[in-house]
Amino acid sequence: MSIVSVKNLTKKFGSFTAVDSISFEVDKGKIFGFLGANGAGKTTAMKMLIGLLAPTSGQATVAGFDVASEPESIRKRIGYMSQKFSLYEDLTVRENIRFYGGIYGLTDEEIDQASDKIVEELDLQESRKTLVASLPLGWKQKLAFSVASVHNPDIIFLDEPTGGVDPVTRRRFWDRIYQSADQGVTVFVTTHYMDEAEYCDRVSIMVEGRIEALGSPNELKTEYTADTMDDLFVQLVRSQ
Amino acid sequence: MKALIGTIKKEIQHIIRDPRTLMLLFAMPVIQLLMFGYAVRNEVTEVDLGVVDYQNQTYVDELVQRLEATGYFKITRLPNDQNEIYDAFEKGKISAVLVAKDDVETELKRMGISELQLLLDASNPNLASIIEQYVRVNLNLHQLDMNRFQISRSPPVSVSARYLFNPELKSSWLFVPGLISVILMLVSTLMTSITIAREKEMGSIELLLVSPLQPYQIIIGKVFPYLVLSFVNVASIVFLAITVFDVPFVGNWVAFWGVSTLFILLALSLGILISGVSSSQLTAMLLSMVGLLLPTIILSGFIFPVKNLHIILQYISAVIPARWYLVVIRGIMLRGTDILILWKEVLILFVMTSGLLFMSIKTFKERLQ
Amino acid sequence: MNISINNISHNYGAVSALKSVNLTIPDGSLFGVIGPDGSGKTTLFRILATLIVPSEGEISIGDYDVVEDMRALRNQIGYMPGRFSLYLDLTVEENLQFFASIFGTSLEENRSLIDAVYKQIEPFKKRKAGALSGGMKQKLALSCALIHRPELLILDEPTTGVDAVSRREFWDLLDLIQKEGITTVVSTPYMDEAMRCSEVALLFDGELLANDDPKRLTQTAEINLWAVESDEIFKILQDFRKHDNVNWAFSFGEQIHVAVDKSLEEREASKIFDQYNDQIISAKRIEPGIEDLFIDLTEQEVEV
Repeated sequence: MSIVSVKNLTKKFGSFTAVDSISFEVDKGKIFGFLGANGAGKTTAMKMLIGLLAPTSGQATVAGFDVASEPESIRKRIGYMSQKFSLYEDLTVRENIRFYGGIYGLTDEEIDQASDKIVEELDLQESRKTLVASLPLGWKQKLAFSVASVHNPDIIFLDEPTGGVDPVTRRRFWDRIYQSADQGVTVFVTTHYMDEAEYCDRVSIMVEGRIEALGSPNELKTEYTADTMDDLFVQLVRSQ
Repeated sequence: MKALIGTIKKEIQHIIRDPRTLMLLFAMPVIQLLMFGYAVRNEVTEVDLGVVDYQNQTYVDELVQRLEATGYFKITRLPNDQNEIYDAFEKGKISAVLVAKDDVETELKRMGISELQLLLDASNPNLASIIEQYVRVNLNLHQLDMNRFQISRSPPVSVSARYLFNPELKSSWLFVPGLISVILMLVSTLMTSITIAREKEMGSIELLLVSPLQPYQIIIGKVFPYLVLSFVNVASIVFLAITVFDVPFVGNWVAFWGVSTLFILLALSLGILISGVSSSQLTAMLLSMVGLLLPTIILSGFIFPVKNLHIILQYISAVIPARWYLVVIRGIMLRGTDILILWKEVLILFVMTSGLLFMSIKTFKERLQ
Repeated sequence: MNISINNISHNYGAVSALKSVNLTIPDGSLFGVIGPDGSGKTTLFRILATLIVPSEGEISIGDYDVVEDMRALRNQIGYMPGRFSLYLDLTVEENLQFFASIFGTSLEENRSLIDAVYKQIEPFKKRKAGALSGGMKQKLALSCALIHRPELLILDEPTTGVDAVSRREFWDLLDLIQKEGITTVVSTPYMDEAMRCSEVALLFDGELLANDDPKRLTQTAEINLWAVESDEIFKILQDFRKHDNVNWAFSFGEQIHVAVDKSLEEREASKIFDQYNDQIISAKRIEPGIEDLFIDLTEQEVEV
């Protein structure tokens, strides 16, 4: 059953086409990897799906709502972790949770419960009063993910969540993603790390605004006779 | 509703935890209030009045005593010498001169009326008319007092006022020279500080540093176009002032450009210094505007005469370079003052400029710390 | 020129960015500093480029000291900082001309050196740098850093954020530069790029974890590493981690890498995996890569 359905979605900025008529479906409870080089259009496409940008043409529905006409409904049902920013560094862990919980309409009780759960999960008991700024990067990433899920969304959108992070933190983050997926949450993640593609159920690879490959990692590697997703990507780009 | 409250609460948390924002919100308005409050005063507290008495009359002595007794006048006796009188005006020693030509007492006895002449420096027309009123009022009071038992309908001794240097009392004459200094602060200081701060903010300064370029080369390279731009600006303002606003230029062009060059260099050095302590363009802009431009406008004599400021502000004004620059170019433009008369102001500017230029190059950081 | 980094420590207030780092960078090498964000790479490079005075320690480049001989060194270093390296509102040509001029040289003088790179960007020479793709920008920045034929090339994360193809092309260019005899020091968060260096230093949280020829590092690494294939990656990961003899287990693409006790022999180790026969497809011993090494070294520091 599709929870994200995209048909010929296009975004133009003036004469520049950032996203060129892309189409795909994402099933509920799966991890979908949205891959491509920087500047290929991944972030623009994602922003359309979460209601931050209006499409120039084409259609998309997320959790049953249309991205062009019902963005507010979408925003209530999804979690989002952006590339540039996710937590307020000058607020404490609990203050961040309280704020985001409040925005998503959680009751005080629910917020307290969520706070306790997250603090315990991430082993942050001593850091209750510390500002997020002083947490190590790895912790910030995981915390950001937890905060984005605080309202139990149907889908979580992650925009390049593991850039520049050390190998252990990256993998632990993906553990967290697996955990969510296991619990039925659909995860939509963009990344330029091709090895992370292997962790996804299905991936699409964008090159210059178009989707050039779509399928499960194994399907694609067989189709292109490539050993790794990285090789596959290089092949794709070189054939342009 | 809850989401809204959450958002408001978060904003408050951000504000409280950022010391810079707090300072801006609380310290700034207080400082500005104090500055404006003590600067904007339309009363004149003390008039520097020269008195020329051809005949050494007692009448004049008594009048002078009365004037001094009011506390509003600081009297300087001047000889009957045109040059000395104009000299005193140009040096800023006096704002007005009361001239008693004929024997007032004798004239009063003979004809029943007499006249004193009041020459006023109308470079600042508002000030001049206020001073005129002060003198008239006090002269009339004096006469009322003197002629206690004689009730006349109009005061026998009248004042004929003559406005020097700006006979039509055009306020543009007051503003335009000041505008030159303000615009130079804007272009030279503000823009220079921003452009260097931008390189720091972008990170491109790293590349310039790790190269054979010496600090002075980096600085001159950044600043030279603004130097040229400043000259163009001054020329345009003066051109427009003369053609559109009828502001006179009766003095020496060479002197004018000489002093203006000095001031431009000073403004550029200030820009460089500000960029030295700013890590971002925003900081540079705030420092330039609030730390420099605002005090310059209020305390340099641009609009509010320095004499009128609260005494503490007058001391602060002495540190503001534009204050001295204004004296010189107003003298040159409006009164045709010889630059040598204003040597004190020019020297102060020169010392300030050299000092700031030196400091700006010396304090330019060769490293990132 | 040999570079000798002695006991370098650096603090930003209470934060310790570098902790007693000791390294030697041989003349003419293509030296990689590998580590994630926050490991201290940029701080180390800034000290190396004479931009910061270290809190403690010295660095000598040839006969020069980075603090005392700052001016002399700045003539001989080509530096590509992480965040910025080009004026985006100037064209490709104008950028090159500017950097050539401040080093007292010209595009023509050292054309042969940068030729390999320049050929790739020459078609765009009239285009503003801001309109170039990420990969092209980095190649232009490299040209600008090389244009005065420096003795030492310092490149801070030149391939971050650049697509996989351009990254490979960039490292091909670095190989050519090394052949010209220019000592090149590069930092990168990408572990796979480590293998392209003649020598690497692994940096984490300000500390030096390892330093050697990358091939020797992986060959001599004492990790009992196994690659496991499974359809239920998440579940099996949890199971492995609970096992006493497993040091760590992480996903690696479509496999799981499992590091078991070093003392275990191959047969004993494979018995561990036999336990999960129904859940795993295959399990075999493999030689660790740089990333495995990195994980092994950092996992030792953090309690699992």
